Amino acid sequence: MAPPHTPARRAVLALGTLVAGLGLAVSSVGAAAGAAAYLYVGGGGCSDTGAGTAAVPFCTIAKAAKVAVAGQTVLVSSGTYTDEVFPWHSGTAGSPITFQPAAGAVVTIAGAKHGFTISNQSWITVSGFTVRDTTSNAFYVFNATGVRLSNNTARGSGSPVSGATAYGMYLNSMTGSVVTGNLVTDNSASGIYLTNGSTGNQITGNESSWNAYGYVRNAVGIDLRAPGNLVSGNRVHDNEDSGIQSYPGGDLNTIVDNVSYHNKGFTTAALTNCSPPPTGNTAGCITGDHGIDDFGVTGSSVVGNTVYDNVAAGINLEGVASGTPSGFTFADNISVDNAASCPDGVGGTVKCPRTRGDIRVDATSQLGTRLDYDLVNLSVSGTMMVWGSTSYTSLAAFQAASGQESHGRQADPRWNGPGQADFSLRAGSPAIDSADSGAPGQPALDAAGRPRVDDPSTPNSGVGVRSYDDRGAFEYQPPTTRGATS
Amino acid sequence: MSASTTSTQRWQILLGVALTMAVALASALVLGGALRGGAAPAPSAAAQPIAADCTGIGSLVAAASTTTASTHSASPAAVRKGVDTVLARARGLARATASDDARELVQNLADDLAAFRLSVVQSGTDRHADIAATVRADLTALRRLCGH
Repeated sequence: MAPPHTPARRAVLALGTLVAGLGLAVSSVGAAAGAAAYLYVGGGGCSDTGAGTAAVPFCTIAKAAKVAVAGQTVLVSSGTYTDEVFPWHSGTAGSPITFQPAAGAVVTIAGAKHGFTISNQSWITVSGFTVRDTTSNAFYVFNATGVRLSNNTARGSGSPVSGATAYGMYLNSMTGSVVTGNLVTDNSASGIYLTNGSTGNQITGNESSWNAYGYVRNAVGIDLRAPGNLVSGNRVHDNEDSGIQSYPGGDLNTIVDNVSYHNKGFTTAALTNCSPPPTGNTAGCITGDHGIDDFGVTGSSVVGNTVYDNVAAGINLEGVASGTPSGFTFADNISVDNAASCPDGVGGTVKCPRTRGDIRVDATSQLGTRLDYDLVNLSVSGTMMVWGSTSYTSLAAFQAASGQESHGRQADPRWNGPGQADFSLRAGSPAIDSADSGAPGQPALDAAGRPRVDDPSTPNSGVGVRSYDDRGAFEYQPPTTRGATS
Repeated sequence: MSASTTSTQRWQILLGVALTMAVALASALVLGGALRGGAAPAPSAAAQPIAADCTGIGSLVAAASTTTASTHSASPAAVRKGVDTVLARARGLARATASDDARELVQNLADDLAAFRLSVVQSGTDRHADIAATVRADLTALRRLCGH
């Protein structure tokens, strides 16, 4: 006969059953962890009805994206794919889902709407793809954290027609993510666009260039409409508008060690918001704008950047609400020959620049703005600095009038080859060992990832924890240290 | 203890086991969904129809067009007030839509309206012209999305 079921016994039985049930549940969840480490895409014998093994790979990346779960890596064979890839699952912090070409493979996604759409999924890594000629943004991220986009190329998104333009990388509500080492070029809207509360992201070491709407001056290399991001070590050049831009919403960003140059050009198209040049070929207009542009934003640091030969003021701050402290720091930058020459496009004399100066702070943005340890120069006479409504043709005049830039320098930075976009420093540069290493955001490594080095030939005139940091994006490597740090 | 009582108790235990298993299975599904980013994996929202959003988008586009065109006839304060209203609608629509396409284009309009609002009084005519042209492009893109 069965023993009597006392209340205590019933409780024990129920608990035991619950534990057994939960055990089953956990084993069900754990099936993801037991999945194959790799899924394969492309090559002979492929089938989207298979399991994505090396022997029978999937034919499309989209199929792999549909089934991949945390911890799995999708390896893609060489080829040009036309599918839009949108992961159906999230990875985890310790086990992301990774998409990458197989070893030695060259993978292009072309002609899709998006290359990768990461929407409402997190902990996804996409590395090493070329996405080109998409009808919309090459990479689209929405409501995601822990995303990593690295070493990809985003090229030729959208069309330069009103209503059909597209970004290289459109990042909406993306947090805690990394965008690094990508080439974002020749897209029909801005290269990298952060919006709608995207914060805590690192945008580092990317090249964003030649992005243009074509019918309106508006494409930026890196466009910040969201706060609290690190923008570091990027090269932004030859864009239709500014190199790096912070617009309303883009407060409290740290913009350091970037190189922004030659964001300028002449188009033979008469853009809707440009006046044609007064002489020569009047069919087109000047494009391009600032190296680094901050409009109506507060609390950011612009430190250690190299800014050269942009069509308007090199580093620009304007539009802060009157009476509101900007909270901006400009320090350790090198800004040279901005708004100093017109492009060589057909037409000769042209309508430019719209604003002047290597550094410009407009009348409503002076309050709470700090400038120091910057190096500026013009190789032709012109406006060096703008402070409020006053322009200054020398740094000394600016210093005397504004009380800013007490450690600023006006001198040739002695770059190795600015014509070839080589902004590394030559021996004897006045930028060497003269920066404020305590400026907010000043990194311990330079834009090339090299350490700060004390040049024995140059007396240290910098301040902060290291008195030998160099101004600008690149640290001079004295001959005796080159071998050790290369 | 009678045989019938024992049988009843066994049925109770079996029922308890069944219920517990059901709860555990449901928990597994929820946990699995949480780990994978959603209870039920769904295709990209971009593929979802935007027709439901287009009524609101049409209204928004009309209001934005009227407001941003009023810079020639209204005071800056009045323009900013009008833009504030449209901007709030745009942000609300960007949050509410389930379509990636609609969200992007409405968000773009919201971003550029924020800049437009500022440019009415805080910038030179060149920047204002740039931003106004961009807003017009945003509106064109929204009209195109909805086939207007």
